[in-house]
Amino acid sequence: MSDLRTMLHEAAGPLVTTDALAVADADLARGHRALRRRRAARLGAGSGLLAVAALGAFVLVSPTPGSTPVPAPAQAAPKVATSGIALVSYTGKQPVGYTLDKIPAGWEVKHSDASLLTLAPEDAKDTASAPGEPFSLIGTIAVMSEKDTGVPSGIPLDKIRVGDRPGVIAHMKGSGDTRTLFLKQPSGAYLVIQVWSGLGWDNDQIVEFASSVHITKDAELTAG
Amino acid sequence: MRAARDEEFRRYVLARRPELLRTATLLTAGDRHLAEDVVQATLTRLYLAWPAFQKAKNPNGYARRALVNAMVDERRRPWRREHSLAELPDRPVVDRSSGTARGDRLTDALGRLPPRMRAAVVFRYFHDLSVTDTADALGCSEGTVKSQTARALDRLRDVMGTPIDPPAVPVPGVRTTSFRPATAPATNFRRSY
Repeated sequence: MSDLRTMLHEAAGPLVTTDALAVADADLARGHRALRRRRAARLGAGSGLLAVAALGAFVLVSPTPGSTPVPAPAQAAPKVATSGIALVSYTGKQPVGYTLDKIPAGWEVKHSDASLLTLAPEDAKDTASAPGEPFSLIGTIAVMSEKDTGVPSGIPLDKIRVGDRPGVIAHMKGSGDTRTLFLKQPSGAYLVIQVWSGLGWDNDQIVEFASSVHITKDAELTAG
Repeated sequence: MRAARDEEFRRYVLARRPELLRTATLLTAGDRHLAEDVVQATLTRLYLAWPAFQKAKNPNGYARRALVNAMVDERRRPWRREHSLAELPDRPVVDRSSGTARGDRLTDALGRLPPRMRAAVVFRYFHDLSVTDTADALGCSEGTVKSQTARALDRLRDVMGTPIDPPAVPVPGVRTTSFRPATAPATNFRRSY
């Protein structure tokens, strides 16, 4: 007997996106073009209205003789980068082993035990599995505490600081732009945060999230 | 205003696109190029209808309907229609490889189902949708969903030559599956370097 669901998941292929940010930008650009086409079509449909609209627009945007262009109002730099999913204050139930100040907008705590915390989109399927078996971390943020086994080597590492603590962000192999932050704790253990590539975060956003994660006494160390 | 819409849209794409693409891959019986086109068309429609999509009571259902409609429209395009060739191509025109032998066999079997029958199977057993939600996604009656899925399972069994278990009906609060993709970086926390 074969389980149809498992076979369908195999046939659907892996849940991996390469260069998710560029793909999202391309989707957005297509949306912009479609919106322009639709607006142009609507304008073209009413040629009489078009003339009036064009005249009105001309009057509205024409500068007064002798006037100087008005500079666009200065905008404060957004706290989070313009790419990726923004962080928002976390108001839900705090997970086991960690407290969270912020999480990605539209996300929630998917799994929480003393050795693993995962976050995923609210409408994502639960990735929990049978006890003792691994979890699927595709498309998630995973948080854990590891014994002092050191940071990985042989892959690109970016030095970062979370508050006054130095750490590194490792660019993991074989999973798009998945990055993992390693932040040494006073105890010698590491706070480890793996951010799946689809989230589209840069290092600054990962650091911002890491600064909002606090380890509690209930967190269990894993071997890594 | 538009900046907020753009940011929300990007967020949605980053979070949901991979799953949409997997669904489209099944709906197109493994035609990944067509699946990509269908997803692009779906996302463009969602962007155009973003205010309505945001207000929808069931955004996932809205997206599923958009996906099905986009697939139907893509298949109607003249260059998508099947046409006769004087000589058979010496290699497959479309790469339908899923990466596993069993997945490839199912992909081949799905390709022998009519599109809407295939969609009923995908929504019922890949997405674990209820008969009601599947009917909503396909714009048909619940009775049609039941008959289509029953016939589809019979055909899949015949084509694959092996018994196929329809997954147990999900019961709220009871986990009926623990499927985990075998991709190493997905299941191993930090052993992907």
